[in-house]
Amino acid sequence: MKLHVLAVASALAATLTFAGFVGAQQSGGVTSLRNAGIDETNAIEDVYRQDEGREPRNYRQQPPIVPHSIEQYQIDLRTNQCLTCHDWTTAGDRGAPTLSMTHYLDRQGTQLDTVAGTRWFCNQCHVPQADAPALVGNTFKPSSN
Amino acid sequence: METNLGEYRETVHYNNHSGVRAICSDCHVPHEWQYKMKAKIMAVKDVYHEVLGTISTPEKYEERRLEMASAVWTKMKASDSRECRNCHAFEYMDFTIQETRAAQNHQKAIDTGMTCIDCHQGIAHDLAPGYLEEYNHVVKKLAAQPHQGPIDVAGIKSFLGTQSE
Repeated sequence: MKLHVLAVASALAATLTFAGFVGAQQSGGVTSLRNAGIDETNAIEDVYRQDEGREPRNYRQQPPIVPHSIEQYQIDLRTNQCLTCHDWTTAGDRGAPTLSMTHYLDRQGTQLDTVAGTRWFCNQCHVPQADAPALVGNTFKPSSN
Repeated sequence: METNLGEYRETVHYNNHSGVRAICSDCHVPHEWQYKMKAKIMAVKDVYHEVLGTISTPEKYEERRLEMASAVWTKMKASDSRECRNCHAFEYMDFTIQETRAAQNHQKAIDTGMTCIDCHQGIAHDLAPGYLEEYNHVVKKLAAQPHQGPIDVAGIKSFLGTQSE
């Protein structure tokens, strides 16, 4: 008898919980990450091609932008492929600009032989150049031009 | 074999604008019979270690990544990137439609007798730390080996003292 009551109670609880989920989904206004119905075709974003030739800097300390494609360059914990040409050890042979020597200083200002860990991820500052609309707004103004 | 397959699937040899795909064997199995048979026999080692589980976890794989890459680089450097050249030939390249820096470096490669793998490491698989040092080591090791070029007929003839044809 006791067991029977327990079974009925748990079945009831399960039904109520499920009903609650359904209710929450209908009233919550869930939107998908896709931002479109499953039967609609998503518009893909425009592809902006790489500009060749070196762009002048817009202000004195602007990180220079990259005048070539960096598609599929590996920059991760293991390897930084930009350094294959741009590290001071290889830049001469490869005819590439060497990293600024500030990139070989650690936080304490110690001169290092290899690029500083703080400068490892090149594309945090240096981006490939393309004539594309800005992804985010920006009100930056250089102190002098 | 799943790790390197996954990495390859992120690259241009798997997915690209022209819709031409190079599969594993296009780069790793030679076309010519004698080299193909050699590759097939050497592949027994790969099967053995796959069964043994030598590279069965990401950690084990990373530990051996450089060693495995180094073995393939040695093969490619020694064969003058033969498998690359089954599709990519300098003779068929139009440098004028290449990116400036690519065209310049390809011209330099022709002039100085470089081979594809000298610059294009890690185009289909991730690179391990210290890969460039390891590649330079491979080049040095191969250069130190006795030259295995075409047979020096003139040298043999002069050694035998038979100058006439």
